[in-house]
Amino acid sequence: MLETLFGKYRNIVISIALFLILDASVLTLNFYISFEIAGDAVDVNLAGRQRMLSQRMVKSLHDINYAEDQSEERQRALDELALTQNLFQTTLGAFDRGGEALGAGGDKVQLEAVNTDPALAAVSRAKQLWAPYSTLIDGVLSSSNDYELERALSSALAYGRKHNLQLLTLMNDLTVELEHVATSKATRLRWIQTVGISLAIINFLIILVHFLGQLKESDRRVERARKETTEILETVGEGLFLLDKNCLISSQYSKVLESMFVRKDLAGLSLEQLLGKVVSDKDLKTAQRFIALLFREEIKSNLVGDLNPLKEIEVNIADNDGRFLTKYFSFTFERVYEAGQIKDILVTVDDISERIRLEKELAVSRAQNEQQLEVLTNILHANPSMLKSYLKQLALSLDKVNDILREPSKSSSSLKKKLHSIFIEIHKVKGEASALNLDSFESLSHQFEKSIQVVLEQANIEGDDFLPLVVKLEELVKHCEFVESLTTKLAQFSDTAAVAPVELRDWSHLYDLTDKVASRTGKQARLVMSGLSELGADSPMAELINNLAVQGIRNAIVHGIEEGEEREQVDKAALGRVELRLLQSNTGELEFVIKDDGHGIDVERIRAQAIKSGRWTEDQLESWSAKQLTSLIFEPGFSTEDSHQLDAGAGVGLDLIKQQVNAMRGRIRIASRRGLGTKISVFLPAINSLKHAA
Amino acid sequence: MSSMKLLVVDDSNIIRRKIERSADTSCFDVVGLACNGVEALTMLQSTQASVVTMDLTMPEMDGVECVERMVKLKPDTRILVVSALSDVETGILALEKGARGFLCKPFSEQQLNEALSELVEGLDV
Repeated sequence: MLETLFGKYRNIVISIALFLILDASVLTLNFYISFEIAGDAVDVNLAGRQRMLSQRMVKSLHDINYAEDQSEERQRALDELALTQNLFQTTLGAFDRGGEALGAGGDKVQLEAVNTDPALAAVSRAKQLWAPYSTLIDGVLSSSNDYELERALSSALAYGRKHNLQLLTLMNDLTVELEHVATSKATRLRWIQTVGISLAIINFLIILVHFLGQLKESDRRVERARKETTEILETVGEGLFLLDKNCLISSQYSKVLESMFVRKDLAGLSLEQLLGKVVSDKDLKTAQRFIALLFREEIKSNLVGDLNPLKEIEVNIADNDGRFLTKYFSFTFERVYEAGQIKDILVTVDDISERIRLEKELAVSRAQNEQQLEVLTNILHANPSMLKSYLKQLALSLDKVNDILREPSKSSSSLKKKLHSIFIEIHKVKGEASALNLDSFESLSHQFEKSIQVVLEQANIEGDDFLPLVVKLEELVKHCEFVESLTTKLAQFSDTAAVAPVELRDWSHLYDLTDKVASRTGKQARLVMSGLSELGADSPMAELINNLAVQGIRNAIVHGIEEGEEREQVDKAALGRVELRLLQSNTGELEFVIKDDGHGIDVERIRAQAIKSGRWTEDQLESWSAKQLTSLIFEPGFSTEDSHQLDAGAGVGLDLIKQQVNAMRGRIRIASRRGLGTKISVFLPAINSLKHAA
Repeated sequence: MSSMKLLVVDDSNIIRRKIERSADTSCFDVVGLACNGVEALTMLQSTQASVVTMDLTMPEMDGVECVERMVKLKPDTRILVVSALSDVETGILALEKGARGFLCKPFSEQQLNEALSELVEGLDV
C-alpha cells in the first residue's frame, strides 16, 4: 500500500498534500488575522473611548465647578471625574506600554502597545499633555476642603480649557490610526485569502489537468496493451489459453483455438467441456490429474513434462457438417506465477497432424525402400529371362483374376466357384514365385490366398465380400508394375538383361525351391533332375513343365518326405529325395515323373479328412477303393494339411496340376507305396517340343 | 555446501549402480541401495536420507505404495520417480502420493543430475 502511495502515485499524493497544506495555511492565517482584527477593533473602540473620556473629564470639572458645595451633585461629578481619569490613565498606559485595560463592557482586556509611527507620536504627545493634567485632576480629587478644591479646580479647568481640544485631537488621531491599521490588516487578510484560494484553485486545476491527462494516458496505454494482446491472440498460430485452478478457460484465448476445436465462445468452459468428445475419457481424466499436479507448489514442473498425456494426442473433432476429422494435437502446459504463487496454467495447443502424417509417410516409405531393396536383391539373384517370362505370366494371371472378379454372379454357389478359380490362379502365381525365390511376390500372393480363405469360410458369401480381394489384386498388380520398372532400370545398367533369353532353359531355381521348402517344413531333401535340360526354353511345354515341377516338389516335400528323425526310425537316410524326370517316348509323347521316397499316400488320412470336410458321409467313404480315395487329392479345396501354410495346406496344388494337364489333354497316374514313396507320372501328348541334339 | 544423503531404490542392479555412479558426488552422498519398497523404507529410517530415486515396478512393495509410506514417515523427503514411460498413469499416481518429479528411463548421466538438482532446489542442507 505504502509502496504504491510513494511509488506509482507519488505525484498525485504530493499535489493533494500541497493543496491541503495551502488550504490549512490560508485557514490558519485567516484565523490569526481575524483574531488580530478583533483585537484591533477593541483598540479602535478604546481609542474612541479616550476621546469621549477627555470630554467627560472636562464636563465633570465644569459640573464640580457649578455644583453646590457639599451637594450630592458635586460628589457624583467628583466620582465621575475619578472614574474617567482612572479609565483614561490606564487605557493610555496600555496603549503606550501594552497591558490590561477595562473594556467597554467593564471586562478586562489585554492591549498591545501601539507600534505604528503616527500612533506612537499621538500616544507620546498625549502622555506629555496628560501627565500635568492628571496631576491637576489628582489635586481636585484629593482636596480636603472647599477652598483647596476651588483652587485645584480652577487650575485644572484652566489646563483643561487650554489643552482639551489638543488631547481630543490626539485621541482622535490615535483612533483614526488604529482604524487605519485594522483596515490595512483586513485588506491584507483579503489579499491572503484571495492569493491562497487562487493558489488552491490553480493547484486543483493542475491536479485536474495533469492527472486527468495521466489517467487518460494510462487508459490509452491499457487500451493499447489490450489491443496488442488481442491482435497477438488473433494472429498467433497456436491455440493459447489460460486455465485456472478450477480448470476453466480464460476470457482471452487465441482465435485459432476456435477453428482448431470447431466451436465458438470457449471462455469460461471447463477443460472437460472442451475435450470431452474430442479425446478419450481416459486421456481426459489423466490430463486433469496431470494439471492438478501442476498446481501443486512442491512438484517440480520441469520434472513432469514426460507425464503429459496430451503431448501427442489423436483428437476427433466434428466439423460444421457433422463429419469427424481425425487430427493430432500437441498440448504443452506452463505455470503462470503471480507474486510467487501459481496462478494459472498457460496451455499451448499445436496442430501436429502434418508432422505426424509426414512421420507416417516416412515410415511407410522407409518400409517400402527396404522392401524394394529386398526385391532388388531377389531380382538380382533371379535368372533375367525367367524373371521376364514370370512377369509376363503374372500379368496374364492377374488379368485373368480381374476378369473373374468382373464376371457378374449372384448366387452364393457361383460366387464360391469364382473364389475357387481365383484361388487356383493365385496359388500358381505363388508357386512360381517361390520357385524363382521371389519372396515379395510369394508373400503377396500368400496374403491373397489367405483373404480368399477367409471369404470361403463364411456361411453366406456376398458380392461385397470380394472387396478385400480387389485390394489384394491391386497390390499384386502394383508390385508387378514396380518390379517391371525395376528390371527395365536394371536392364539399362547391364546388357545381359536386355539380350534375348538363353537358348537352354535353366532349371537351377528348382534346387533353390527344394532347399527353401525343406527348410520351411523342417525337413531335409535333395532334388535330382534328369531330362529337363533337353527341353527348349521356347517350348510351349516349358511353362507347364515348370509349373508341374514346382507343384510336384512342394507336394513331395510337404506331404511325402518325413522329418529326419522319423526317417531314421524306419531305416531311411535322413536326407529325403525328390526326383524329376522328363522322358520322351518313341511316339513323341512326353512323360514327366515326380517321385519321392517319403511315406507314400496315407489313404486313411484322406478318408478322415474327407469325413471332416463333410462332403461325403462315413458310409459313402467306407465303400471307396484306395484309388478312389487317392483321387480325392485332386479335388479342389481338398487338403490333408490342417492349416494353410506357404507351401501346402491350401488344397489346390494337385488340383492345379490336374487342370493344366487336362487343358493340354494329358493324363496323370499316381503310384504310391506306404513307407516307400509316391510317384506321379504326367503324360502329355506329342508336340515337337524336344530340342534335337545337334 | 555439504552433500545430501541419497537413497537409490530400484529392483535392477544395473540401474542402481548406474544412478550410484552417475550422481554428482559433490552434491550427493549415496547412503543406500534398495531393491524393493520394503527395504527402501527400512533404509530411509536407518540412513535418514533426504533425497530418493524411486523405481515404480518392484517386487515386495511397488514404488507407488513406497512413495506413500515414505511421505507419511518423512514428509519432507524429496522423491524422484525414475521409471519407463510405459505407464503414465502410474507415474502420475506416484506424484499424487507425494513424489515431486519424474525422470524417464533410459536416462543419461546429465539428465539424472539435472533432474536431481532441480529436485533439491531450495532444500536447506
